[in-house]
Amino acid sequence: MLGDIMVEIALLVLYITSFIVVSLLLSRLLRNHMIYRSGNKVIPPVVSLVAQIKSIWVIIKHIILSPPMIVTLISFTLIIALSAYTTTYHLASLEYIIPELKENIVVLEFSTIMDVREVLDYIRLLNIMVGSGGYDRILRLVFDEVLELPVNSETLSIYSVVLVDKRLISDILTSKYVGIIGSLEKSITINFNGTPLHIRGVKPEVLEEYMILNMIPLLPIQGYVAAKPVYVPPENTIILEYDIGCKLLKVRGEPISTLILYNLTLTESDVERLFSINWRLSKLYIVSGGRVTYYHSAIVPSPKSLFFAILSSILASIMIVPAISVIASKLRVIEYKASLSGLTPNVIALSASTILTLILGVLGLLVVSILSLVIGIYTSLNTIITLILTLIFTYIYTSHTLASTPYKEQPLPIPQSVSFTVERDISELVSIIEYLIRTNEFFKVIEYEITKRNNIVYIHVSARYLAAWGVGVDSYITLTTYKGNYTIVSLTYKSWSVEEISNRYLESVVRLFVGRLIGGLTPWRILNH
Amino acid sequence: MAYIESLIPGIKMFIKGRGCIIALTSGAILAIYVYVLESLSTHYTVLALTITSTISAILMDNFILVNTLRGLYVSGAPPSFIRRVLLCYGLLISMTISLPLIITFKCWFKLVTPILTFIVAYTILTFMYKRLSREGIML
Repeated sequence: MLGDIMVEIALLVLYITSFIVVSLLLSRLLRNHMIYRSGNKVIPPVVSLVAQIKSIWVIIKHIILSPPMIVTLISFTLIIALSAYTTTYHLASLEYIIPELKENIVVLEFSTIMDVREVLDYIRLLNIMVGSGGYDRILRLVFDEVLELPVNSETLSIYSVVLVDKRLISDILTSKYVGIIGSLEKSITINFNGTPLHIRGVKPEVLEEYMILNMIPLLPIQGYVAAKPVYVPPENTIILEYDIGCKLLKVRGEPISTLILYNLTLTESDVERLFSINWRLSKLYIVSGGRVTYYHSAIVPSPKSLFFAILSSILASIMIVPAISVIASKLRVIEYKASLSGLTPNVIALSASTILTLILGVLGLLVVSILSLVIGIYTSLNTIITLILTLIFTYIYTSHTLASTPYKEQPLPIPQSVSFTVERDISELVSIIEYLIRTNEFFKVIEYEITKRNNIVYIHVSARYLAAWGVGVDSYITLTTYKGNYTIVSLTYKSWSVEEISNRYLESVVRLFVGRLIGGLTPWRILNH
Repeated sequence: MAYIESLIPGIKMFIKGRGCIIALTSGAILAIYVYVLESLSTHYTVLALTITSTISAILMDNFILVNTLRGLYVSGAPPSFIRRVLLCYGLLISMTISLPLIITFKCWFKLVTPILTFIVAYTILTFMYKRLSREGIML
């Protein structure tokens, strides 16, 4: 025990050490690569490894400890669960014909011992009406320890007992006997717990080849060699009539391993519902008019189930988009701060998207394993496809969003001022400008201030755009006398908005305002100035 | 009249933001799931996902919400007016996400979904407004 712990600790230390060594080597390689690429032109800022790790930790902290992350994790878990519920499966089945069987029969074979009442209650719970034809029971018991029974002066070793309702084996179990054994002797009397039992001996091959209703083997199957079943040796197996066997073995209730129900018909959906219950149903035979349909609990993927798996996974991946987008928008905010710390956009994108994908991946694997335990292993296909698609999407989306932002071309700021000379006197120009501003049908003047100092006139205008709510333009106009008869017009303007409006829209508003003003002064404008 | 006036910024926020697209897409996809899967456990999962999608849609519109609230505050809108705007926006988001589900859901889920999504949406919006007021971002 102590040795195992020591080995585990040693492995852990080895793992951590190798991780540190690899990280150091990688960082050195990255630095050398950057120096090589920069040459003598541009040298990136030197940032210590500790500072970089601290910066990455800040990013991780911002990712993990945020309400959007919690919402994302909950959404992610629910999406995988929903994907599991959409799983469609196809039971392995086989059809063949036994002309001798004319009745409607259903045979339920369990991998564990069940009680007849329990089975019938389950069937009634599924609203399946049990027919009036009654039922037959088979119980196969294989002992853990060999049962030694006295036969005359010798002892007989018994490995297993099969309890069967008499009418199922009436052709080999005559009224003189209570049981059968695969022994060559004609008949024997066994002392079973003080009770003498008259047992018929038949050839071992008879029991090995005997099929109840021509389809269910009588002896317990221990395994298969290729496709051939390996039975418990017939000479060590006693076949007993069910009620007598139960009394001798002192068994409570009506335990069964196989139940045969008569006058019962099942639909495809009934079969699926029967297998959906967690009651260890391993095989199901439906006999109707000589046609036998055999179902096994093994699930086989079909083209339909694969199609639904992929479709549901794609839909689930679309559902994760808003959750991831919320986190990405939050990361974009901290990206700027991280870049100030000296981290390159690629490092930020790589660390943020990797951490996010890792967190989701670990949680996803946990959810997938829990769902396969709770709902069933057959849900794994759907859940794993969903998990992979979602993780790929998360990684690509976050890394692309973060890494591409700094490289996007930003439009150059438009000039916010203009200056030109007009061939008009300053006093004349003041009234023209006021006229041009006040007669603009798109704007309502809120403020109009005018100040004169020496030969300079200052005008401040604030106008509200009439076609929208809370949008306007502020403008400062300076008029300066130049060479007596000329005036230099300097125009500075700025748009404002109460609401968040696109720059393009605001520029249009500014153009409407400034265009009228400049256009009105153009006839007197000196172009060569 | 004041109620009708409060509709305009609410509708503008709803249309301009990406939240309405997310709400509509999520609602439609979840409605498909409800239509295909009829088990009760699936309906509960869908209901929970409806709530998380509502939260995601509102968080996606966080930027536009903050700016509009700031704009309303600057323009002198009283808190009651701002609350009505938020109510209108929350109602629109919850209606968009739950409308496809109302069609496909059966039994009591049909009634619960829009009410629950609206309560969640309005609660988050109120918290957001309170936080903005407390932190002085409104100024």
